[in-house]
Amino acid sequence: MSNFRFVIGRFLGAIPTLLILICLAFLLVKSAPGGPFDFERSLPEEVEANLRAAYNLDDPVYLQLFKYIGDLLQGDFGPSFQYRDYTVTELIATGFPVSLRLGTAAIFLALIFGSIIGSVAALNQNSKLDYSVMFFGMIGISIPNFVMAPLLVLFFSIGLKALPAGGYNGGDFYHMVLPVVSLALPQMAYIARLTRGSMIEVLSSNFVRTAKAQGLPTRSILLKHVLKPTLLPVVSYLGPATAAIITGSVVVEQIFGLPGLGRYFVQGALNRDYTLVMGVVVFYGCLIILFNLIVDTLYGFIDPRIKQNR
Amino acid sequence: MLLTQKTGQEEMTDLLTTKNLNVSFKSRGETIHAVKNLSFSLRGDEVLGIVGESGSGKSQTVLSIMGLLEANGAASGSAVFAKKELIGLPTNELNKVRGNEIAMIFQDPMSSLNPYISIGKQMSGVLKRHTKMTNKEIKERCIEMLHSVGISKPEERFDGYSFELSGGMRQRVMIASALLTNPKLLIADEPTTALDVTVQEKILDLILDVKERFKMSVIMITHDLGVVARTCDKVLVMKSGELQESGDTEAIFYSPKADYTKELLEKSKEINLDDQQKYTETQDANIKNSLVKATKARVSFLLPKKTLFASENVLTAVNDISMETLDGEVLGIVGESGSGKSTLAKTILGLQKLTSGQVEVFGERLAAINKKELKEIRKKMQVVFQDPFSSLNPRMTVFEILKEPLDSFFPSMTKESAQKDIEDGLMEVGLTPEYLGRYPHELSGGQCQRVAIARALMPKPQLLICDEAVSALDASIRGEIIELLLRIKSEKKLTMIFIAHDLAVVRKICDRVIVMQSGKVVEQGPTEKVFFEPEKEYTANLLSAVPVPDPKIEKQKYIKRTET
Amino acid sequence: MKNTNSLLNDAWAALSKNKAALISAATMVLMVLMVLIGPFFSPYAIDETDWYKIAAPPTLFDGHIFGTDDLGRDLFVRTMYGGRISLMVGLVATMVSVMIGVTYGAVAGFMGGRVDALMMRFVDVLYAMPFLFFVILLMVFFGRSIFLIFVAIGAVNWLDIARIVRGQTLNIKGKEFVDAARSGGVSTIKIIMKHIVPNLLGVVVVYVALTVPQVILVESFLSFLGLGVQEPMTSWGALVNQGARQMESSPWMLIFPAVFLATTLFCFNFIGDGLRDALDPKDRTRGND
Repeated sequence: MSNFRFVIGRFLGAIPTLLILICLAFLLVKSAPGGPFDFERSLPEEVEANLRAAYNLDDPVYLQLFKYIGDLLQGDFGPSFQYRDYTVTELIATGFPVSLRLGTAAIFLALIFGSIIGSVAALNQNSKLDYSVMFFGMIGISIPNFVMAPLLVLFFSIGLKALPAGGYNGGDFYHMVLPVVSLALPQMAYIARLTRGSMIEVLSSNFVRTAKAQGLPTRSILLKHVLKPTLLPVVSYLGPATAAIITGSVVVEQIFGLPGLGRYFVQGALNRDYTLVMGVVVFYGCLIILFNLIVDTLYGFIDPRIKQNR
Repeated sequence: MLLTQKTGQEEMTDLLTTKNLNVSFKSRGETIHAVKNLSFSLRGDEVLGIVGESGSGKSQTVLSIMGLLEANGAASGSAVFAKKELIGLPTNELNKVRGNEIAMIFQDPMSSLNPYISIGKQMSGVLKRHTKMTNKEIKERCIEMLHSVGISKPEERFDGYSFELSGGMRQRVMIASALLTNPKLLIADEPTTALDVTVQEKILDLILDVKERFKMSVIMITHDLGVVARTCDKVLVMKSGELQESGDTEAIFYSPKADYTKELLEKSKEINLDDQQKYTETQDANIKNSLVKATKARVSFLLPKKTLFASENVLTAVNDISMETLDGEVLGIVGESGSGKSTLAKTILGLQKLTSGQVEVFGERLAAINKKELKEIRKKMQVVFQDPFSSLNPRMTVFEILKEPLDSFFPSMTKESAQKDIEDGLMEVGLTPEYLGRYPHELSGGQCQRVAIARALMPKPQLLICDEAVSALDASIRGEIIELLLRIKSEKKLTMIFIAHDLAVVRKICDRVIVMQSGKVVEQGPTEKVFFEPEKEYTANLLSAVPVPDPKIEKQKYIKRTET
Repeated sequence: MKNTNSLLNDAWAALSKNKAALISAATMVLMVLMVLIGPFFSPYAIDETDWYKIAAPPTLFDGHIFGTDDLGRDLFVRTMYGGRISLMVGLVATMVSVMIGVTYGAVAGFMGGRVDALMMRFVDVLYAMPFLFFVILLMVFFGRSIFLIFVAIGAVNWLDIARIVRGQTLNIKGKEFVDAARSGGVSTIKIIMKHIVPNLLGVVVVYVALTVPQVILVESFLSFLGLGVQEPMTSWGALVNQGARQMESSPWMLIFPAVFLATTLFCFNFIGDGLRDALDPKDRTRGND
């Protein structure tokens, strides 16, 4: 029963964040000069009519806000400003599956490889292997993915001609390799450093010393005593990591010409498609908040010290 | 492998013999010899104490035998346990011995247990590793062992976690884990140093008890001669890695041969609690006025709520206390951790608000005065804290640290007279003006504490509050600082409130003493009276729990404890 | 100021042992010199079109040592000017971040209790926002003045610093020397100025060094998407964008700005890391051995 209360509590805590996000986005659009609510520019009649209907522009502001939230809850993001024939919802529905594929693969790659590399470095602390891992880790963090991606393309596509330079092609392996890797690399590097630092700290803790004194073999100590405390900070980091991958996907999709949500977002930004842009921000924002919620809750179930307080 | 078999013939043979054991460390290009050519032997049924100050190598000795040295450490020589040479033994062979035939418990029970795994899992791990018992048998044995070390509700504790337990209970769990495989030897590295005195007594008794029941040998490592006197049959005295003397406990204590042993015994006897002095009433003709007077003072804290719906938790650190400090006296406040003594000190200093009741300092009610008046009072009342390093601002030089109280209390002082006052102040605490330009991290613990004392004396206060002022110092430095405080007290006719958990120190310097427990005053009175004719049981227990460096007396105390 | 003397000494002593950090620091000094005086060595201007040499590869002979871009502009000069913008944004936006973050964190830490809890809850809420998206929104809606870029980027990054400063403030507040100062009659203002702030400097310096690369990254990101500085000004991010589009035919357009950008980020991260190891506000415990 207290488990349930815990989850509800966390859930309730996330709602203010969601509300602020939506309000902020809404207010931004309302106040933007040259935006859809600035009728200095003359708009095509249909769009203006659509907008007036969708946003009830004759009502007081807070009512407009409620309507907007109400629409959101029904999955209605309003009409696209630029692509006249489509609603934002439809555009999101088209682009999201691509981004989802890209992002999920990147997160898994970053998480798995990052933690393995970091662990190996920690177990061989101060060796050549360790230093090279740290060095490459630093490079990985420093080089932005919009620099890494073109360099990878330069090398693998133009140089080696082994992989395609762009295009989605239904998301097959060859077309996804470079995008996923360039998206994952900075996070992989960060997670590797994080894991390494965490494991080094755990390895030097007193309870590991106790385990050694009890005659437990190294493998046992690693699996039973070291693994969990090492990975807890990594689990914590999953939230920000996802946010970073979502942000990074904007650029990666642009570079590789993948028809994902990020690409729509950038096009929308450049074309001043306000509703689309706002819709994507709210959508992604909710996604991030939801994901943080899940990770947070998961963490509460894994760390026994928090478990106690449930 | 079944649990270690014991034949009952253990007493006859040497269980552990070391020959020319050497331990060295490579640190920053230098080699440090922590243990030099140590040779000793341990029989199968005795408690061997290894005693020495910090840096003596006592811990490194046993860590090298257990193969637990740090990566930059190396051991050479021989250590034969039950006919097996341990030094140089490959790890997988060593793992069959440690945790199985030799078990070890450490100094800090708070961090020696894994907080992320249940206690049951940790204990089971030992049996799973060394025996072929079934899960059911393992669980039964663990619970049985928890019970036999005095842990109540062992089934619940088995599934629980270490952070739910107090320090003393965690140490019991460590002991229980150590006993699971019926080891021949238990190594205890300063097992009670981090525990309160009354808890220490129980844990030491427990160790002796299990030694008998399980027919083990024990190596007890400590810096406290009282602990040695209480628990050990034989003693090794070490200094800077070298063996100074070894022998039976009574021989070491009553007829020491080595100079260092004599020196150690001297230092510990200075503050001996069990002198059979008679308490005599002395009449003091003058009626002294109270500088500090607390009446039903209460300080409560609201603990953060665990969940939104939980009820509020209140911690009452100071629970309706009434006490006073008379002009010219040294008042001791003793208590174990959680007694509220530090909170009381902070309240008197005006650093902590009262929840109810009243505290008068120099005749003024603290709750009723304004900032300006408080500052005037603070001029007369200063404090020295426990941790010499965190009581000085690491970004200020000694000069700036000492100048600050002058700036705040005597703003119109000229630069020259301030300089003179500061230099005088330094000399008074035994430091020279060359220290003025130094930063705290360049000083030792003792020197930092001297600076802290000098800072406290700058405004020429009448009352000095020492909150565990010597507790964090090495034993050898402690004596010097105590001497300094006593000298200053008599030279400047100061009134002192001396807060400590170390009864021996309190006895040495305090005229009157207040004993606190859980926020309440248990007993108060002249020091000699409280110490020799305590009225309350808690006080008596507290006093007798302090181990005294006299084996015969300790034996009597032990008999008394175990017959009730 | 006697206070910072010891801090500088510590920083120097520890940094000088960290080879990577030293090399990075030296590289950065070199970099700054290059971007400031580099253009004076070249006969070309930032937007001057050399009609004879459109998209020419790098050569030593005619002064186009980095080559030219697809509009015939000298890449070396553009890279240097781009560096000025990127570094300037890095510095200014970091200052904005630091000012907001330090003030917020110090106030929260010092006030403690309910105020602190509320303030940090606010930070937690903001942390969950896809901030970069909001910055992009701001760029889209309100135009691309360089001033807005500074403020927007600065406003994004202050959260980390606020958290760290608040933690450190709480840490310092609990130290005994603060209690000793209060007993010593020192006023609250003086306690903040003389005791708390100097002990915060260490942490702040570390995070300044670590924030600069993050900020440069954000600016590059925006420029890459076409939302950053406008022509004729350029930044490394914009140059990388242009270079990426031409990389099949003129790889030098990508490589030079990319290398400069990556090296700068790299060096600052190393310096920040080194400083963090050096000035780690762990108590200096004397070895009790």
